[in-house]
Amino acid sequence: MVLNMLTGSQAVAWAARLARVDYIPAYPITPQTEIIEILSEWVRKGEMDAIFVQMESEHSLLTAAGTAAATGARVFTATSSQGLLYGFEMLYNIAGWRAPLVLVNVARALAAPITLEPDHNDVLAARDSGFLQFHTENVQEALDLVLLAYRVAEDHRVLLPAIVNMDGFHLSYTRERVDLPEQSAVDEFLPEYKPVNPIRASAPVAKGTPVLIPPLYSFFKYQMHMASRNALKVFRDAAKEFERIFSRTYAPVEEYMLDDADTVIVMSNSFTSIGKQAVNAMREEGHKVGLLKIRLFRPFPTDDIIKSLRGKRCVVVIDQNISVGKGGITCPEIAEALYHLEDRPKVILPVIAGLGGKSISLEEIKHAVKVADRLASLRAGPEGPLLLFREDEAILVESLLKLASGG
Amino acid sequence: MERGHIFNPSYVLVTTPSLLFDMTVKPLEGMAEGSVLFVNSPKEIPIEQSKKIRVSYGDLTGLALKYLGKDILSAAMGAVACKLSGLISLQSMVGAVEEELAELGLETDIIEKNVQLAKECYLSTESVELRGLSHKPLHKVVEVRYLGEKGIPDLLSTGNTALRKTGSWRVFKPIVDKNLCTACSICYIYCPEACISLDEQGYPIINYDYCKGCLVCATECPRNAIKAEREIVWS
Repeated sequence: MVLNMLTGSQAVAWAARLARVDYIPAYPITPQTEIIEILSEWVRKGEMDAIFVQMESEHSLLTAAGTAAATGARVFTATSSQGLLYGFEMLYNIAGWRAPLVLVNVARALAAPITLEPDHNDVLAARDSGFLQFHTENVQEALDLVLLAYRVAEDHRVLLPAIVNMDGFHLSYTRERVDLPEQSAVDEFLPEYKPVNPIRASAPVAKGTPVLIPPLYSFFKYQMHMASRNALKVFRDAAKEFERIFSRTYAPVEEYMLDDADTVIVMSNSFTSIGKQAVNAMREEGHKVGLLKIRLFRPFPTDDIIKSLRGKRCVVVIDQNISVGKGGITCPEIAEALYHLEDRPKVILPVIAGLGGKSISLEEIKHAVKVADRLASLRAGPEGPLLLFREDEAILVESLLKLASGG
Repeated sequence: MERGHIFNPSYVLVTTPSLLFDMTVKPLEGMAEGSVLFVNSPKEIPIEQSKKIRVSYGDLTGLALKYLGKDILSAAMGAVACKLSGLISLQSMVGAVEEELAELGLETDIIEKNVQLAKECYLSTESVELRGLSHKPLHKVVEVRYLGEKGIPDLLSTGNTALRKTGSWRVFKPIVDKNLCTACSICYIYCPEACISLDEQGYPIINYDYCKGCLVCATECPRNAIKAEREIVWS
């Protein structure tokens, strides 16, 4: 085992290198750029046997990535935020071609107003595209899930592209202790990609052909859905193999102090570490609070969520995203998973926090837990999402609004 | 694992002293009684909270100029942070500087100069143990009200960037020697920040509120009439 201090950018670049990817189409955007800088340097020095191409936009990047995957190349790419949205049309196409590849999205909130810090409206915009989605809490997880993502995406029961999400700044530019896997171990875990009907000059294949007969469209789309659902089992099996080789365990969800908990906080991505700290603090004060981390977001791990949350008194779903006009994106999915259970939680509290990278303090998380507890005591439901926003922040905003208005 | 915003820092290191008084940066915010502040400055600076927190100073810019000939402070500040907290050994610190700078593709002699700089910074800094940190202030969650048209991100006070005195991070201050100056206007033309104006006789006047100290004026002056002085005093 070799321990290194790696940034998230370095770690996912290493994952691509260890996965022996063939092709890397790239286009820079903050906070993703460091990843492709590292890869281009390795390719230039001959340390990596891959073709690196700087494209002219993310739309071209995704088109190149998908078509290369359709020829049977193992493809890695990365983007972020506006870049993901600029190439958005191609996400649905690549998934529809059933072309597996891995795209790292370095989460950054969407304009306008423009910012560089993370929330998950960028990656969740791709929620319905057919890409598998893996959300990571720390640098090690980002590296490992890129490897797992290739194995799951390329499995013939799945054959769908995958996004591995990693928060900008909090992971991309933060050095953490990482166990960098040995090449031989990765080779054992990740066999060569065996494409289905690859495009060859000698044997032409038409991919993504028009289907102007509606039942055909319906059929193929639902095939994608079933392939994505297959990824739940494929991921579990791959994770077992991963654990055997690398001694690290990954499930679609991660439970933290859940066994005797009566209130459960649901979170994903890097701010989950703050949620775990809040759980520790509340445990010290004698409150039975736990946390459920959603690691695999597509396919949605309904059964794991039912297993972890049934019989609990309160569930607090902290969404670091907002579907404007509704609320958090994951909360309705959690609620739907639990609706038909007799022992469903009394309260499912939708919470919005950390938009545009806004910090979350332990007190804010404690406040959300208190609100949920009060609702459960009153046998009442939430009126709408609870926004976590602090007094010191309100004062700052007020002073900046005054400056902006010239008042 | 801890992650996210540090609300109550035990150690704060300030590279650019003018930031101490910057209303948007607020580097001392959240510092508890008993916490430790290090300021990169050759002399003491009056700080309001200095009774509660322990403040130390070091002229890292001077050392960086000595070793590197440039005001590049990352290795120096990193070394001070390692020593101040007492958590990281000299050997580990040197290894980290070497590794990090090698990753950037720097030449061996530049890495070595950075290591020398970091070593001197490390050895000339005293470790300060934390003692009796006061309680953390609690955050209160408040409701965000709908503000109508005030809630639209429009900027009505356009041109307000002038409120930020961009000269505050200057390391070198250009000073015009009127005895040598021929009022040729070359500095006026070359200043990338447009903060040199001309007086009635055509001599340059530098607006130090916005001069960043890039010294393009001093480089371009055909008579070498512009001297660079190390900036020490900030207001």
